[in-house]
Amino acid sequence: MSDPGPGFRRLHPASLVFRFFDALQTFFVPALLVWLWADADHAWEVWLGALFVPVVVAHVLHYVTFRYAMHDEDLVVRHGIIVRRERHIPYARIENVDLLRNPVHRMLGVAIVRLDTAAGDDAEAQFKVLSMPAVTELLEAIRDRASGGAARGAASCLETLEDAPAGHAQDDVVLRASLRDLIVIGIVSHRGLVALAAFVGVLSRFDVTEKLLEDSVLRPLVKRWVASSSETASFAQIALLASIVIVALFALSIAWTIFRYHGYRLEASDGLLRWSAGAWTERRATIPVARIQRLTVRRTLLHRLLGLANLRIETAGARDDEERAGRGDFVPLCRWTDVERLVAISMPDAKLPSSYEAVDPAAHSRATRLSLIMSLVGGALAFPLVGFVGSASLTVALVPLFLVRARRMTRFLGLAVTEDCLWVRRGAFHLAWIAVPIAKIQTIAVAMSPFDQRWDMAKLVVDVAGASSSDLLTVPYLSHAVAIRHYERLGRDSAAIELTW
Amino acid sequence: MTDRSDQESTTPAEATWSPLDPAWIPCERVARTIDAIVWIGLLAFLLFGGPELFGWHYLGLEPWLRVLWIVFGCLILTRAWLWPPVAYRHIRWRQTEVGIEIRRGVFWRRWITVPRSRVQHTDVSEGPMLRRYGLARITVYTAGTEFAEIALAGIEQGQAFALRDALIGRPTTIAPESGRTE
Repeated sequence: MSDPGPGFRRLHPASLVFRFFDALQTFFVPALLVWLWADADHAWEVWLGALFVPVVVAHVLHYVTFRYAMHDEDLVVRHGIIVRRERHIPYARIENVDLLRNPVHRMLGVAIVRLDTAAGDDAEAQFKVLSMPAVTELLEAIRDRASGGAARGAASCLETLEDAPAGHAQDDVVLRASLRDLIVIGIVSHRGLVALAAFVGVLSRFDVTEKLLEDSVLRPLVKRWVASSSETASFAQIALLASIVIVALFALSIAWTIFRYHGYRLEASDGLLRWSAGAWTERRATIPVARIQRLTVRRTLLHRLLGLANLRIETAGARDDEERAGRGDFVPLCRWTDVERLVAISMPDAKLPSSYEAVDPAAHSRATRLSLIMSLVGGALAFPLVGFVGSASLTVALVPLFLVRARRMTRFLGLAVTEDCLWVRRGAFHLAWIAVPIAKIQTIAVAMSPFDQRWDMAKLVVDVAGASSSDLLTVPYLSHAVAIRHYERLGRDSAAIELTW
Repeated sequence: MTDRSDQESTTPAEATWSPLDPAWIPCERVARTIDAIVWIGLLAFLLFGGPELFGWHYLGLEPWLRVLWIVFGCLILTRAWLWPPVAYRHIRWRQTEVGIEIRRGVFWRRWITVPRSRVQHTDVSEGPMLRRYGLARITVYTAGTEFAEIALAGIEQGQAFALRDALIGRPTTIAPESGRTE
């Protein structure tokens, strides 16, 4: 590589190790599947492992070619060998600075730094990994030259490097999660079900189970159980197996949650939220309150039974994927009584509305009619599979379910415009309250389908930055006049406010 | 069926509605006819060309199905001719002090408002078809997701440029309605 010029720095050599493990991680699940599914006489699958080589080469090349420099006006990042990409990130555009360190990083004295700008789904720049002096230098450059949230984010990252993690400003802590809380989150979120498919897949291939249990203590037990059940599987045995599976799933879910949210802490100071959690990699995020585009409070049936709730937020330019910590799982769990306080912290303009404007009085009849049609269609679709008696009983079973859903949905659906914020509540069994500051509204629309026109209704649609389109904020079943009134008012009010990210 | 979108009772006549340029109708007719011809050509190949040249045989070649396909082809062609004037009557746009508002849709109707302060940038483009008829397409980009770009195709070129200038050139805030401050 030719020298790119003065002031350019490279990544820490340990990057190679971490990148190798990244590559390995991507290949781990496919490799496991190949190993489980391959027969001894079909060894060709092993050759798929050759795909691993280009991935590793790409990672090595990234490390070798990666250079960055801190100029006065912008941060320059370049990499690539055939297509050389050089990116200039003006300090003023940096929205968010994240610092990630897991125990291995700590041991080697390195860290990952991620920078985001408002544009794009991906991190604008990721430095994986830098030595601690390089991290300090980079963060200081951002702190001194960037403005607003990014500067404060960098400053707070620098603070955590100096202080012992436990000694950090206790007054700012808004919420933390005890072990008991984590267990409850594990139970309520039942993530263990995700593992069910894999579990069933493995079980269905008994030879695999056999292979796995070859030398384990469980082997005689399983043998005996299988031998006895092959004659007559008693009801008790099936019940036992089912309950073991369920308990195992919940245990898995709890373990996953504890691992992921260990040491969960949310701090607020100076219009800045600091979020951190994680047993292995401590995931941290610094979120300026002013950048929050949308806030959602959610309650499933279980949440309501236990008096709990869950909060998520959306910011511009960040999707809630695994890497983007602190948005989708902003508040994984809190008491219902804490919601008002947490909303006040994360969206100061959003006072909880005292009442919601209901949808059209005819909404219930319309939803009921739709439910009946849906039950009939559901039954009819099942006809080729289950015959007349089956599809008839399916229809009969679906009708009450759909009717209850329609009733609850139309009763709960509503919207409220508080001082500076639009609130929408919706849901039948899983309830959600969504807040969007009027200042963050991008586009307002009303949609009228032929059915809406027949019932003299309309659907209000509000678009904000950062919302995934599958999750667009819509309020159906509004009276036509009401929808138009809100459409015009929100249009005027949002036009009156200059957009600030 | 009530015909709501044709009344303008809900807002005071602060700004007048503009239709698209009338030249959009022939332009759209030609564009849709070209589309229809491509589809019919494909259909004809599947129904007659393929079986004749390569000896294909499949269920779709049953005589009654062939009739159905031919009817379908005729329908596309008729629609290409009849639909544009209907659609034309149901597209209107106006510039208000808020920003730009577009109402469109014959059966599924949508009114959409983009406040001027939310316009990130605008594009005026002309495809070969639009250019032949002296028309242009203006695309308004916002920072949103579902409505990140809102296009209005079929207005006269000069008007498109004027609209573009109006959307990005002026001061972006208007007087608040209800004593709201920033």
